[in-house]
Amino acid sequence: MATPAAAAAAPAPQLEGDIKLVSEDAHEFVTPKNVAAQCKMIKTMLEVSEEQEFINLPNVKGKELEKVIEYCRYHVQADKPDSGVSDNDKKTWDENFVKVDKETLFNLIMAANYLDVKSLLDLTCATVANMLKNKTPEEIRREFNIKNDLTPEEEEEIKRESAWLYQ
Amino acid sequence: MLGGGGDLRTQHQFIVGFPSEISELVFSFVAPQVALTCANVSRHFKEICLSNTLWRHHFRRDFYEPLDELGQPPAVLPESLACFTGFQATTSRDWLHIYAEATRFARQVDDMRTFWAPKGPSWLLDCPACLHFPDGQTRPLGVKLPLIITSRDRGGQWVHVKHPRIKLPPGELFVTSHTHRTTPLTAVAGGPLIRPSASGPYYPCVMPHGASYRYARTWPPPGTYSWSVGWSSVPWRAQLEGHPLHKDALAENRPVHFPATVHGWQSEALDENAFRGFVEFRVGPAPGSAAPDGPNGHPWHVYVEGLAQLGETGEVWERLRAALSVVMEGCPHDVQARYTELCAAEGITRPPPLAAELDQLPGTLWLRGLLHEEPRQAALAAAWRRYLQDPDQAQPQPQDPVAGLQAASKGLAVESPGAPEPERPLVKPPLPYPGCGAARVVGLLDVLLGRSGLGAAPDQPPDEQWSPTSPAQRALRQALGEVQLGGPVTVRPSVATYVTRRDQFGCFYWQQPTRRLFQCPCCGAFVLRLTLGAAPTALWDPCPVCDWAVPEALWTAFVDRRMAQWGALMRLEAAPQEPAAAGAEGGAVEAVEEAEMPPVDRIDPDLAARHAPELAEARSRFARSMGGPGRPMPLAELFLPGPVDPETARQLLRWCCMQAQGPMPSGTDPADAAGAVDPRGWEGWAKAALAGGQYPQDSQDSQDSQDPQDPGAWDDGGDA
Repeated sequence: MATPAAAAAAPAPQLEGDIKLVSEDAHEFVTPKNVAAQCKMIKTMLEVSEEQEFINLPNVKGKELEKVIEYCRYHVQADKPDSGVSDNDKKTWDENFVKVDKETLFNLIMAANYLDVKSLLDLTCATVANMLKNKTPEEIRREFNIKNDLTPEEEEEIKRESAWLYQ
Repeated sequence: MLGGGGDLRTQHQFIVGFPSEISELVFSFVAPQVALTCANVSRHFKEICLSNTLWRHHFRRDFYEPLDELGQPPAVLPESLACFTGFQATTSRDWLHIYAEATRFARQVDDMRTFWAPKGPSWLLDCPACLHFPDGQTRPLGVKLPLIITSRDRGGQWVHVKHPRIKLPPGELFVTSHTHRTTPLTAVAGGPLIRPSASGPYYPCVMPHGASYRYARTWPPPGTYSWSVGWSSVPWRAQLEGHPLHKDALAENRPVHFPATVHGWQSEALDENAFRGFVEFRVGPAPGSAAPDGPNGHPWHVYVEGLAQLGETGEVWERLRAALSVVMEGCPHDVQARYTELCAAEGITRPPPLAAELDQLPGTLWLRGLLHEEPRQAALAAAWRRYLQDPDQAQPQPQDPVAGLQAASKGLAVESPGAPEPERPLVKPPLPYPGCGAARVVGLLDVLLGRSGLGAAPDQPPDEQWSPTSPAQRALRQALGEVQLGGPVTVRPSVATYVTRRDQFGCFYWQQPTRRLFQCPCCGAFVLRLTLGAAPTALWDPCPVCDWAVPEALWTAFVDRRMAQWGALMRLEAAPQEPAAAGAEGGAVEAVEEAEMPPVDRIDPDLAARHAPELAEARSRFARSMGGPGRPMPLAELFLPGPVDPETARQLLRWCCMQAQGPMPSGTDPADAAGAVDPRGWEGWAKAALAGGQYPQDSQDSQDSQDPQDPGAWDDGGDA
């Protein structure tokens, strides 16, 4: 799978100590601040007030928040110059990381978007894009449980207009 | 969040449940083909997959990121891309078609890196005048006219340029700007669309100034723009210089009328050193100078690069400004008319003749000689200075250059004052037309019809000239025998004829107008044009039917014509005593048909031996004038079969000798034998020319300008 977005996360800010992240369903995750700061939204909040002890994240459920923290923790370590982790290793880890069910992947995308973790958002979106490849429209509908609301005329129009791409 | 109905999370309605920016991000990771497939999934998918932002993303990724790999600075996706070609990319379909065109083009490029690497962020698209988006099927010209559209890599400002050759519908604009990078020229020069070669077919192009010229590293000055507009391999360039009014036009999304001037010259042999001698005239604020106001109240000035080679000073270039400054409005005849107008505004009542093609401007001609004909450099430099000091005396003048230019701008013959203007109904042939196409002008026929040809018999009643049964028409049809004509043939003389001209090296020579048939690439009309001399005056002439400028083919014709004349010379050598068979009007065609014109390989060996030194010298000089030193002209190459009456051939031989500045071979001129040399006729003129004396002048000369025996109407200036 192509993982163009699996680039390294932003350099970790020089933040010390831990922060408690509270999910929508009240799960609490105590996380090093430099890991949590991989999420730009959290980083901004920490920069506003370094003294706060917890941050509520009402749009993220515990399951996805745990995954996000796992992702950030790995990349904070792996992206260090002396980590000894190769790009291939990171790529493999990313590919395994997104081997989740569709619901989790969907929620992970939303969480990455909400928490503003660009590399994770790119990774998950590329995963979805990969699921679209080599499929017919009908297969895509089945894969993603989408109802076809196009009229035959509309379908024909699309085919006609896109014919040039296959010339 | 966009809703797809129901509980999105439980239904896993991917994409439908995403915010649009995420959806587009998803599709940005798929190929455009996949995105289009997905557009068939549902209406919501369709909306997303065909969104502008998505396709911008594709543009960025597929057309810009390769540059990054090659070490180019990452390009900024031009948000104003929609403005190019006057084509409002407000819908996803627009973007798709832009993408399609770029993709289609890219597929024709053998080496994408060759294409991308040197050029920077740019596109090569079909000229919208030839390929009408979005169906991609409307190609009235039958030829692709690639156009480089280049974004500015700094500042992100876009500018609009009208196509130099093609009349665009209102609002149809091209976009380009300079990047100071290297060489879109080579990217445009060859076929099928791109081949870095000097020998490929010529495609008109608009290229960013400086992109192909080394000297441009310092040009243009900060805050100015410039463009080079022209063909890839023809020896001229029109240089358009940016102007403050660009900005206004840009803001108003209207065409820019460039205060522009002409231009430069490049070596005809495109090689590594091709641009060494390039001299450009530019309009714009000269560095450190108090520029006077120019057209439209904007400051303008002309200054020239490469002055060091000439050792001239500012006064010279002030003259040049007056001589060369024009406002380029896209069409050559506009340029001519504007040139005349500007000269008049400058108080120049008799401006140097602005030949129909830009390359023939006096300045460039002379500069060419100065820069590239070293053996003659000193003499020409002196002549050049004389010309600058007093153009009226140093430059041959037609009778009424202003009227002539105005007439030429209308596609009419520039003839002697009082000559009836040939107004004839023109038949526009239906399209599609066989051979129609800008690159396929089929009328490159040698119509050397002696003295009875069209436009050359002023005393012949016009109606008879144009009658289908007239000798001229019959001769024309005969000449066209090998051409499959798909419609009516309409001919008319359309270009001025000066019997004498001065070539680019300052030599006078006599020239009989050459009649050539051309087919307009735009409307398909066949037009008989009269061209002459080293200056193909028809080069930029518009088609009298549709007003289209047909430069390229005429340039070719120019070369062919010279070869044809050599062919005539060779034939004359074989039959010097052939009586003139074309003396009587109406009988010339038949005479030509009956004349035994031996081919070049049947030259009388005795005759050739007798005139070997003169002939060799003439041939050598002529060859040099055509191909430059070191390029001998093979005999076979000179030969072009075609009907030429002996009288014409005899005169051509004289012309060739004059061209070569050598003595005429003795024994080829009956007048010599008779000892009857009219000092005001051809012989007298020729002898005076050879002796370096003064040439006779006569007010009747211009009226005789159609007479091939007449040497012409202007004096020499003493610098030939």
